[in-house]
Amino acid sequence: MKYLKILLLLSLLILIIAPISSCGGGGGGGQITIHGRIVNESSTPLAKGNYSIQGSGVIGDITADGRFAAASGEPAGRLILTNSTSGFRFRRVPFDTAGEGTLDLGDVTLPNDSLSKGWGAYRDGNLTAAESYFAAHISASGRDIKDAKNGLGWTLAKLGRQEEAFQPLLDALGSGFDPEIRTALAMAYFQRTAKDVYSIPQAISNVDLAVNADGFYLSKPLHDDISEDDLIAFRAMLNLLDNRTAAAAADRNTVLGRTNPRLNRASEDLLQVVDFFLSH
Amino acid sequence: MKKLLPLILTFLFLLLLPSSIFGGNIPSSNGYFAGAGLIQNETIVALADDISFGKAVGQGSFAGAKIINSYAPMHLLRLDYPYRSAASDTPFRRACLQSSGQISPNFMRYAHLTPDDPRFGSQTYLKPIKAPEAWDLFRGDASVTVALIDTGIDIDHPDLQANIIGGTNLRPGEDSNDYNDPHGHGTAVAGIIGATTNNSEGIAGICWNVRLLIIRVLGGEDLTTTLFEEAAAIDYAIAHGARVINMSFGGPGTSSAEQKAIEKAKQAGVIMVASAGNNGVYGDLQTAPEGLNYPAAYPDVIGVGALKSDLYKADFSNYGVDQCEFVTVGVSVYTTLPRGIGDISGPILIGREYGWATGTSFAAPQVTALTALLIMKEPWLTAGQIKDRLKANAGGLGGPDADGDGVDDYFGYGLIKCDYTLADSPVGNNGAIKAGVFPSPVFPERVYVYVQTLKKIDSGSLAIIGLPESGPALTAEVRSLETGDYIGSLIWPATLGQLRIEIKASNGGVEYPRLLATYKP
Repeated sequence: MKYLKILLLLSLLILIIAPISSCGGGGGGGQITIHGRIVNESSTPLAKGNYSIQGSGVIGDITADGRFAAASGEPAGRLILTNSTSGFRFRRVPFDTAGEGTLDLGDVTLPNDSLSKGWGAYRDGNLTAAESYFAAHISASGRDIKDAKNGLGWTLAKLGRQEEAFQPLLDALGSGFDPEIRTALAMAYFQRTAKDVYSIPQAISNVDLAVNADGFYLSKPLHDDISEDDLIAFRAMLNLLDNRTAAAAADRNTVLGRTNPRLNRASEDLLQVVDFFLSH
Repeated sequence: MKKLLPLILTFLFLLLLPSSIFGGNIPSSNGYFAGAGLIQNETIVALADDISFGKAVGQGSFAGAKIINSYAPMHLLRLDYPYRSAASDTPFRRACLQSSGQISPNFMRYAHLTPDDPRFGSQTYLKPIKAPEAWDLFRGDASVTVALIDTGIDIDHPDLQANIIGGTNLRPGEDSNDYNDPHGHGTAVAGIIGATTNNSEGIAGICWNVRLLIIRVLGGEDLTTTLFEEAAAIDYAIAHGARVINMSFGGPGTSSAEQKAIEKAKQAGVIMVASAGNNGVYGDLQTAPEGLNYPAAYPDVIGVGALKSDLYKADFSNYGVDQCEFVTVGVSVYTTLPRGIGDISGPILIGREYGWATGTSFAAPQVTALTALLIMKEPWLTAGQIKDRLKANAGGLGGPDADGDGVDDYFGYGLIKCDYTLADSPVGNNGAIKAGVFPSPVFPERVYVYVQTLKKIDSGSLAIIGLPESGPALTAEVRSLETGDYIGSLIWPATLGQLRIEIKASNGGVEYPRLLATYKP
C-alpha cells in the first residue's frame, strides 16, 4: 500500500512536469522575440487584411491593430511580412540579434510601392512586369534598394538573361538576403556554363555559401520551394559536372542519408541522374 | 434516279477526298513525325540547274529563309524554314516555285546498330520485343547478377562462358560443384538472356553483358525438381547477390516453403520471373485456381506466356493474368545449346552449339533479360517500379479492352517492348553516349541534358534534340565542359508535356548510335 502511494505521487509529479518541459521549446540556440507594428506609407497601422508572417524559424502572429510578435529560434534571418488585401504589400526585414532577447523593429512600413509590386509580379510569374518594377524602384532610389536588386537579379536569371543578372545580385550581397542571392548566383554561374567552362567551381562555391549561411531560408511565397537539401542535391550535380565524383557522392549520400530529406521534384530527378553517372 | 446521280457522285468524290488531298505526304501535327525524325524547322530546296547557285548562297537567305547549309554539286539548300509551312501555299512556296525550286522535308537518318554475331539473323523473336532498338539505348554493363534456376549451363560454351560467374548444383546426391548442363534446357535459357554479344560468335544475348549465376536443380528424364530444392535455390540466389531470378519451370499447388523463399526474395528486392507453363489452360485465382501454375502465379513473381512468331498466342501457353502478365515469342526461339550431347526428345532440338527451343520456358528469359537491363540502367528502381515500367510499356496485342483495366486474358499486359521500357527514363547509356536529363531546381521550365561520350569529340558533332509530344522539335544549346563532357539546355514549359530527348553524336567519321531519354515534367 505504501509503495502504491509513492507510485501515485510519482505519477502525479510526472503529469505536472511533462507539459512544462514539452512546452519549453527548442532549447539549444537562443530564442528571440521580434515585435513591431505594420503601417502603410502614411504611418497608419494596417489593421485589417490578409497578413502573413514568415521567416527563418519564425512562428508569430499579427494582431488586429497591426502589431506583430514573432518568435524565432534562429539568431539571424529574415522576417517576411505580407498583406494582400488591397494590392500586394510586402516587406522583408533581415534581423540579426546576436543572441537571445527581444528585437523591436518599431514601425515597419508596407508601402504599395514598386518594390512590393515587383515581388508581387515575380510571385505571379509575370517576370517582364517584375523587371520593370524592380528597375523603377532602383532608379527612384527608394527604400530597400538591395532587395530590389536581389529581385531584379532573380528575375533576370529566370528570364534566362543570367549575364545581366550577375551585377544586381552581386550588388545585393550584404543585405541580409545573402543565402538566396548566393542561390541565384549559383544558378547564374551554372547557366553560364553554356559559355564559360570555368563557371562550375564558382557555382559550387556559391552553393557552399548559401548552404553554410546561418539560417538558410528562401522566402517561400516568392521563390520555388527550395530547401537546404535541394541545394545540396544541386551541388552534387555540380560536383559531378566538375568531375569531382567523390564530392558528388558525398553530397548525394548526405541528402539521401537524412531521415526525411526535403526534396522538391526537380531535386529527386537530379539525384537520379547523379546516381546514374556515379554508378556507371 | 437522275436527280440522285449528282449526289452520289459528290458523295463518292468526298469519300475519295481525304486520301487524295488530306492524306498526302504532309506530316501530321501529332508527335509521330517528330519521333520519326522530321526536322520540323527545316526545308530542303533543290534549285534548278539554270539558277545561279553561287549567287543564291551568297545572299545568305533564299525566299526569305536563312540558308543553314548548301551543297553546290546538287544545287541543294538547307533552309531554316518549317516544312509544315513550306508544304502549304505560302509566299515562301510561291517564291521557291518561281525559281524552279523543288521543295522537300529534311529527315533524320540513324545508324542501324546490328551486332556482328553471325547467327543473330536467326533470332527473329528479338524483333517483336524491340531488342535491337533497345540496344541503341543500353546494352547492359554486367552490374547485375541474374540467377538461372534450371538444368545448369554448358560452362565451356564459347558464347556463354564469359558471362558465367559461378554456380552450384542443389540436386540431391550430386556433386554441388557440377552445374554443367547435361540436358540443354538451362543452356538455352542462358543464351537468350546473356549470350556474349558482338563477339563475332554465335548469337546475341538480350543483355550484352550480364553476370549469370547458375543453380542446377532440374534434372532427370522429365527435367523435374521439387519445392524443397526450388526453395533452397531461391535462397542461394539471394545469398549470392542475384537481383533477378529466372524460373523456367512450374507446376500446380502452392507450399509454405516456396512462399517463404519467395517472400524472402521479395524482401531482398529480388525480381522473380517464371514461365506460365505449357498446358494451354486458363488459370485465375478466384474462378479457375485449378489452372494455375506456380511459381508464375504467385503475386510477387512475374509470369510470362508464349506467342507464336505471328504474335498469336501459342496453343500450349497457359493464360490468365494471374500467371501470364506478359508475353513474348516462345516458339522456335534460336539460342545456345550444349555441345556434343546428341539429340534429346522433347521441345528442344539439339543442334551442336545453337538451335531452336519452344515453350514458355524460353519466353520468360526475355522478360528476365529486360528486367536485368532495366536494373543495370536504373539501379535505384524498386521491384514495384520495375513492374510498373514493364506494364506501362508493354501492349499491342489482344482485342478491345472491354473492362478497361488494360489487361487481356490471353496476353496479360501484352508484349514487352525493350526500347520503350528502357527509354522511359531520364537517363541512358548505349556504350558510346551516356546522358541524363534533369530540370533546374530553381527555374522550373529549364531542362538540362548532361552528356558523356566515349571520347571527346574532336572531329564531329553532338546534337541534343527535344521532341515534344506534339509540335516542332527543339534543339538544345550545347557546350563543352572543361572535363570533356557536354551540357545542353532547353526551355521546356510543362505545357509541352513529356519530353523525349534524342542525342546524336559522331566522332572521327564514326556515327554513334543515337541515345533516347525521356523526361516527364
